[in-house]
Amino acid sequence: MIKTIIIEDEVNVRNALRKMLTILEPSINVIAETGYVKDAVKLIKTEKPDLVFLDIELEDGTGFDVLRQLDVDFSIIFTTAYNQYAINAFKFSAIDYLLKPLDPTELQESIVRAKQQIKNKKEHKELLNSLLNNIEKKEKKIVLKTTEQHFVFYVKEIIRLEADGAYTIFVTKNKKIIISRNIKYYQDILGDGFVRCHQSHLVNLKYILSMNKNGFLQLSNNELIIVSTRKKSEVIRLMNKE
Amino acid sequence: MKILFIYFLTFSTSVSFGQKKILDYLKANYESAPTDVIIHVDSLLAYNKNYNKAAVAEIKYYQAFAYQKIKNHKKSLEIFNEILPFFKKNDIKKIKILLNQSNSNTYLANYTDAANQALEVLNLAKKIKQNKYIVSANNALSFIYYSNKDYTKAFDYLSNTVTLALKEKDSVRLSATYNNIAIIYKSMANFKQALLYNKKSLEISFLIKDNEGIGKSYSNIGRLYELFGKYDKAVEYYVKAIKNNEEIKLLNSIPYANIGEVFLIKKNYAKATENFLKAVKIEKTNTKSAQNIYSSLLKTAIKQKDFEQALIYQTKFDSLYNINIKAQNEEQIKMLKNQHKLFKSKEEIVQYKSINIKNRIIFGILTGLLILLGLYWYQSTRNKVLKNEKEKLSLEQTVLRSQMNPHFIFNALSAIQNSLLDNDTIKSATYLSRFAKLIRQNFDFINQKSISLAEEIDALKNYLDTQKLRFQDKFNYEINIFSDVDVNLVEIPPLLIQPFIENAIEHGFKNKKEQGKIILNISKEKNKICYEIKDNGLGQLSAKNDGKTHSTDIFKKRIKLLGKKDEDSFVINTSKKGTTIKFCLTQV
Repeated sequence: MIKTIIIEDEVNVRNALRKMLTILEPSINVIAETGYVKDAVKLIKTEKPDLVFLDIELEDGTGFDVLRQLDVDFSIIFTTAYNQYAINAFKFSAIDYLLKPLDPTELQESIVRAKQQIKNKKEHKELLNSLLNNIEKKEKKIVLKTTEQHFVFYVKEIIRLEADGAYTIFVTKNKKIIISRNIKYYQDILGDGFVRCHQSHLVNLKYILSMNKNGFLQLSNNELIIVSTRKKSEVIRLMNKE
Repeated sequence: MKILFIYFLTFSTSVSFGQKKILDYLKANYESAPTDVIIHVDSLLAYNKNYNKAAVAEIKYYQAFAYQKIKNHKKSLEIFNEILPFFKKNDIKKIKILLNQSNSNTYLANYTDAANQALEVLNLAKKIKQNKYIVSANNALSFIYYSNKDYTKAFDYLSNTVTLALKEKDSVRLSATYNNIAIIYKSMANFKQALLYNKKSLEISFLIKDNEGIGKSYSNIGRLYELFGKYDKAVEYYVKAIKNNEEIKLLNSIPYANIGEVFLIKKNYAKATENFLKAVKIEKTNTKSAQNIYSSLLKTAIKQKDFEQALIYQTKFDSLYNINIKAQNEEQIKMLKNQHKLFKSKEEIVQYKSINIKNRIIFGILTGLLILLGLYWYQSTRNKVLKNEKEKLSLEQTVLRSQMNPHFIFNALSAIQNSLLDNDTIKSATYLSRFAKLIRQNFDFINQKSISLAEEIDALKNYLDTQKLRFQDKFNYEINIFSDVDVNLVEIPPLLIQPFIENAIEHGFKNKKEQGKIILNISKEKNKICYEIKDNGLGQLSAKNDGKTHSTDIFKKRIKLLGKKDEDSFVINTSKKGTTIKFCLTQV
């Protein structure tokens, strides 16, 4: 049996989640529920659950407030109704989350992954740390997961991204990593500080030295990156904004 | 028009004939037509900017002579002073200029300057060994002292001349010098010596067959005899002069007039009249001389008591006087006009340029300012309009968002999901359709300025019911509409009340354990409809500010945009026991 606690302020969501879990995953045993940060910390410390459903918006704070007060050695499934800031942090840290109202299929999948988290505690902790780091507005870290392993980089370390079909190649000073997500996904979460100078290229503005007369960007790692004609003026504008 | 014609002529001559021709013209005319020369030069210089300074000096040289000719010594001096530096290497011209300057200065009684200039001529002439200019310089110096009534010094210089002229056998200058000596003696009332020198001059004139000089000498001698009171002798010499003049076919009225004067003194009026008439005949065309002679004729007629004749002479005299005055005036006016015109045209060109530049700058600045002002005005009105529009749009969106708050939507949907999982199909269907209605109303209202109160209340009920489902009947609500309020006629901006209801639920009831209650009262006060929203929550202001614009601010802005100043009627009382909000809206 998986000892589970639901931390959620909406009664309806709590009830619905419990009912769905009963139907989908009989192995999950919900031992406690609360909508308050204070109660949540206490409950987790005393009950030592295997899995926690953690909502971002709570009555007296956020789900992150709960995590900060604990040494996490349990699996977490984050839930949120609508919090763009938190969602962006999840994406940066490659952490799963569920949107309300909950989709039963997604719920099931996330439970499967949560079970794996228990096996790979080290990675799980690392991801959570990067999440809390990103939430606290420190120097942002991005987690890149491949099928075999994961990498954590400071965003400032990323020189550029290159599209390769549905994959994206990350280029840092000394690494090239292929991730199975499209470049648009990363363009959205990386946001300012990067420029999509070409259909296939997203470049960190910090690494642009100049634009040569043939319309190529000279990067500080000696690479030349093509700029599409349409994007030229925007690139120049952003280069000078830096 | 005349001036224009002159300019045209000037322009064309300067272009087609060249400077040589112009100088020839000026040289030929400065004595006979000084005024024309002056005007011509002014025009030339005003309209031909391409002359170099030396060429300008050459041209002005003749203008200065012309000015001297019309006895404008000041102007003449001015020009000579100006152009003198350009003739440093041309000694002859320099001498000529200096001589004329000296002459003018003598007239203007600037004797020191005049003497200095004459002495300079003397030195120059000695240097280049030009005796005739040495004579001229001596004559000039003599004239200066004569003018200064220093006759001794005047004689000294003239004696120098005599010596030189004799040495040079320059009879012409010797004759002229003797005449000058005679003049000085005459001025000193030493008529005898004067007569002597006039006779010497006459002798020379005979020798060199200078008939004109002979005539002049006869006249001068006659004048001296007249002064002696030897009228017969005087007449004799005058007659000699007349005869001499006749021989050389020189028409000269002076001897006749002089004879006339003598006969007048001798009271021989008939002879006097006869000679005066002869003189007048000669001077028919010379109005000035004729005027003087008529004056004498008039005197004679009056002496004769021939008043009829006197009247005729008087009339003649008057008409000539008028003609002369008129001519004099015309000449003066002509000069003045020309000066004025040239001055103006020169000044105008300069001024016009500067004015033009100034005007352009001023015009540019003014236009710029006007454009800027216009742009500013346009922009500010446009900005106002845009700002208003933008404000409205952003308000509308805020209002829409406040009802369609994502938390509210997703949590409401979660509530429906929960009821579905309970297998309560009718309840689920009801809530789902109520939620759909809420979204539909939102779509409908957002583009409307106002809706009926009935519609607003309907939307509120939907909202409240949906929230009740979400909060599992944690609160109740009550809507009381007073009977004098016709909900179908009263107009209200859409979703105006809803944000206050939302605040009551989301903030007022959140941490409240007991049952919540919301009461909405709608009543009529005069021409206003008043809304009162009461709740028994924990107080709306105690709720933490999550960074979103406060609903009260949005409300006030919306009311302000209606322009009825109803925003001041807004009152809010909030405590831990509950919140009461009241506001009234003017009805049209």
